Amino acid sequence: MREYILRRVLQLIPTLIFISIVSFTIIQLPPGDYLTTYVANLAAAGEQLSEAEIMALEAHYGLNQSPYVQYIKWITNFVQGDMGQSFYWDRPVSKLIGERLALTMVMSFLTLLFVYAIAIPIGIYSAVRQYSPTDYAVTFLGFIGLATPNFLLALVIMYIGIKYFGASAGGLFSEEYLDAPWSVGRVWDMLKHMWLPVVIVGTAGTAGAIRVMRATTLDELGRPYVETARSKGLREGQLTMKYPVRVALNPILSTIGWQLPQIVSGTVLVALVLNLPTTGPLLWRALMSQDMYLAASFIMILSTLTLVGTLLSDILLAWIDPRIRYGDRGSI
Amino acid sequence: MDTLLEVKNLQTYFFMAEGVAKAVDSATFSIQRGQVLGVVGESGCGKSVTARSIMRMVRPPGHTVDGEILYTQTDEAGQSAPVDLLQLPATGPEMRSIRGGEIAMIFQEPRASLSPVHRIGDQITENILLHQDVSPSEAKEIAIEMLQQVNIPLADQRMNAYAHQLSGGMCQRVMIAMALSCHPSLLIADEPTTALDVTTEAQILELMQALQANLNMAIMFITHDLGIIADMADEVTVMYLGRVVERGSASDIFRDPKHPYTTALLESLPRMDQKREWLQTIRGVVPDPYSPLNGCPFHPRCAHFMPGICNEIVPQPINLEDGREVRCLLYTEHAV
Amino acid sequence: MTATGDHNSPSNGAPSQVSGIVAPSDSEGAGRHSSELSSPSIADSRASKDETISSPYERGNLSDLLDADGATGESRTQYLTPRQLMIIRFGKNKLALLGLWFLLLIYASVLFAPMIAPYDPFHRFNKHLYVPPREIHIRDDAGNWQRPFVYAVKIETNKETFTREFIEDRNQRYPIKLFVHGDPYKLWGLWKMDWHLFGVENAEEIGPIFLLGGDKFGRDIFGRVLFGGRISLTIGLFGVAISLFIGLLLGGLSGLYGGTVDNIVQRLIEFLRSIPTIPLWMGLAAAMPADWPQIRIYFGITIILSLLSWTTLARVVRGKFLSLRNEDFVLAAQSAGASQWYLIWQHLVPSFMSYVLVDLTLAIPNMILGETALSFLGLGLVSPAVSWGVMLKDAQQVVEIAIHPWILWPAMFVVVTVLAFNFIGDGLRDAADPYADL
Repeated sequence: MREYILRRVLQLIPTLIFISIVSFTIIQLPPGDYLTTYVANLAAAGEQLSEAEIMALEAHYGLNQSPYVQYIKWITNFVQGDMGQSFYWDRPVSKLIGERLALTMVMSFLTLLFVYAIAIPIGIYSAVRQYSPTDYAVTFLGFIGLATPNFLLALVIMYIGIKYFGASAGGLFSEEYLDAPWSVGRVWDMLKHMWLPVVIVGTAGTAGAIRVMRATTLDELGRPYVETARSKGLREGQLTMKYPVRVALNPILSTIGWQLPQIVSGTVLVALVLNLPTTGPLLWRALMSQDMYLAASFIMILSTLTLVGTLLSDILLAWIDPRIRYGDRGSI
Repeated sequence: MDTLLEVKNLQTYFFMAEGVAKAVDSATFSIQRGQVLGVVGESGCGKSVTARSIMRMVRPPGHTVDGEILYTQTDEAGQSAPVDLLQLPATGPEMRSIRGGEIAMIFQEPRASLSPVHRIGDQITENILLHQDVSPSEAKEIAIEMLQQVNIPLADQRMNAYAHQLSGGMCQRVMIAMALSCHPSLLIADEPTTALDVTTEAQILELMQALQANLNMAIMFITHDLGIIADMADEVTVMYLGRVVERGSASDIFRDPKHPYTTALLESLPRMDQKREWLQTIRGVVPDPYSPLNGCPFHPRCAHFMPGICNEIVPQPINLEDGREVRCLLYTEHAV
Repeated sequence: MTATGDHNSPSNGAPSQVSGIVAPSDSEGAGRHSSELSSPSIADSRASKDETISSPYERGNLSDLLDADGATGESRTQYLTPRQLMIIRFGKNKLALLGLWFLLLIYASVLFAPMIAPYDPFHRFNKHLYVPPREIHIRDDAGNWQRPFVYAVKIETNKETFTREFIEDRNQRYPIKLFVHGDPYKLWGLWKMDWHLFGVENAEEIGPIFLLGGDKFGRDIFGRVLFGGRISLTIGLFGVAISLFIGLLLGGLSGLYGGTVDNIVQRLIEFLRSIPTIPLWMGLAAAMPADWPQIRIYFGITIILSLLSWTTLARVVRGKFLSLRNEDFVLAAQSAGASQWYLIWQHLVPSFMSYVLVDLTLAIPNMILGETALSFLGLGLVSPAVSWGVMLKDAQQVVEIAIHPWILWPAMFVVVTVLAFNFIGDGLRDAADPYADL
């Protein structure tokens, strides 16, 4: 087990390096950088900068160096926790992202919990009561859930909120807590607001997970070991939970790995629509204004966190499934 | 004789989109206490469904629509009385205490029959705890003892193993240990050695024979292998397309088969004492269950087919001398 | 987004269950679910029927082959090719057929968009900004049946809220005419025309016939949905074509050569799958210069979308190559002296094409959703280009939706189209399973 974890952690390193290169390259791709835009804007506003002033600014932001040097500088500082300076906000990136990132993580984690808390029982029920009206209803709703992009769902729910309840569904905090320091009350207030984005982001994932849970449970229900358990005289409910469901849980838990990227993607989009103080809107603004250090750090951190989450879920899976633990993954 | 289980006119049908498949169609037979009943027939003749009907484990779309399964239950005072298992709710407490406790079952694919994610020890103790009034640690001891009885070396260590770490033969031993852990009076073995290689098969059969003698337990041994039947069984029931076509003592049936199907089955066995160019086979295959044939279901393949009779009249069981029973029109007044 | 993620190949388990038995008895009938992970609705219905189909060769002994007479029973499947079987099975799936018909309809409408749309997509009715969907009547106030007509629209300013209101003038009736002359257009850039499928006369005065309402510039949402579909619906097709190319190439190489190549490709796939798509898409899309012409942005977006979606396909192809390498029929062909390319084209490719088709069908909706999301964020296509995502950008503000809910109509089209693709994909997947029942 320890060996397995070590191997997985080592595998993470090249991936992380690769991600950092990709993140940085993305920001380097567009012609013209933040400074060019900035100078152009100033010029439009009637304020001409001299060559020397521009040079000084370039030196200040390190833009006069080759991209290669910029990358090395960025990544070394990054590893040390210094993520550079945001051009647009003129503040250190780490200060800007800190709280938003934490909120994104909390939201992603809650969404993950929501997805599994809903999908697993419904999937099991749907499989055990195959072809019942509930099963059909769940399958149908699942299709709709998969087909509706979550930002649209967010829009529709906001519309319903305004139209029928006269309340805006956006934001994560009530007004009195908006700029308040953290307190129990603020956390509670946040949780009261967060259920909505969590449900919205989780819809597609839940729909998918229900389908997987239902199909794998159905698969397992007909296996010989279930018959063995039945031949022992176990009660039906006990039997279903202890055997087929227990086995069917493995593939569904192993899909956390690809649920997480989806969820993080979803939180970014939904946060934009619902105007949440998470990473989404900030990343969007950074990309729109080519605020490269901010955007690159965002993509880098989001990807890293996703990878770590995936790793944790894999370790969890290895811990609960003896076949993986003993390096026999192929037989699943 | 002390009858343990008597199956009368058992009918288990599968209700499918294509129609009704009569997997078991009025099967009648009985098992004596402490004896081995062999049930033979080709694949798809209803042997396994019969076994599952007795266990009340037929799953939809299958349903046992008619018949009686009289099981002689012995209470603590030693009084025995027959219960009709079909009258008990399939998932009710009485049936559950019989299932696994008094009638146990082992299956064709030993490894797939064990849970992949539970330790084998836990799977055995589960059965013991369900049916016996013992503490978990006592149950564990019984389980280890059972594993030793089925000749599993290092039994206490193997308790912690998972099914995928054991060989097929080992898995079947574990299954046997699990099935016998509550000293059932009847063990239903559904082709327990089909998935095993020949050496392992011989070991398992030997083990079963030894245990059967020790525990004075009846076995319903389902197989398509007549060789095993000859080895193991006291009584034989031959099934064809959901019906019992012939039954009698093993020696009688092997010496003097009455039903043309039994004869054909026996002829398809390779024999040391006869020189043959070709191995005999039975013409044709088992017909489609959704479109039942008129008359005797075996008539398209029968060597003694009587036109106008066999494809018109449904044969009924006929009692011959020595308690033998055959279901064939050759033994009626229709035969010329 | 779908549950296809970890693809269980349908061949897993199923063949061993086709035991050549006609009666369902040995399997206990119920509950043999050889279905794939993610085919909930239809695949399960075939469970417990596995046994009913089998070729005579699997059924038993040599004599069957020698005298396969009437006694072998019906073998409904033995004379049909897998492709024919697939079509028959697909044809029995009502949802999938429904999806197919819808897609045919919408693609055809998009093709003939300028004819079907009553107005040019950029035609602004300046007096009719945000006009609600036009009501079409077939009964007049007296309760008499009429051919479809509309009432003229009067524009009034609400004295309290100072907003414009559109009120039907019940005194002025105008019939809807077919094949009316209107905005000129060039069909497919070839033929100059000016007639439209339907319309009303004197639209500037009595109000344009906007079936789904008008947008903030007084343009026809219905017509724009059709024109927008040209981009939204084709971007998926092009993107999938690119994914198909990359996926087949890398998956094929990976499965064929194994070893280092396989390792590199697998790491690459794992990497691409483990990063959140939307931020990466956003980053790439933002990297496109704003001054690019629309057509280049269109292809840029297509490439961005397909860069991340070839991975599923490559996995399928690789898996198939790996598993088929050891299949008996491939070994048989090899031992008969077939060359590698011959093997690939004659045996391997046909045997996995159906799975590829399924994955393609399920990949298209993800691309449509991707384009919609990017354009919605303003990172993909931007006005004057018309796509469903661009149209939805107008609906970013909830306040706007609350007042003019009809600007969400493009979303409806996105959802229904994606649903249709998913239905078809699911139907194809079930139909492609060679061990499924008819």
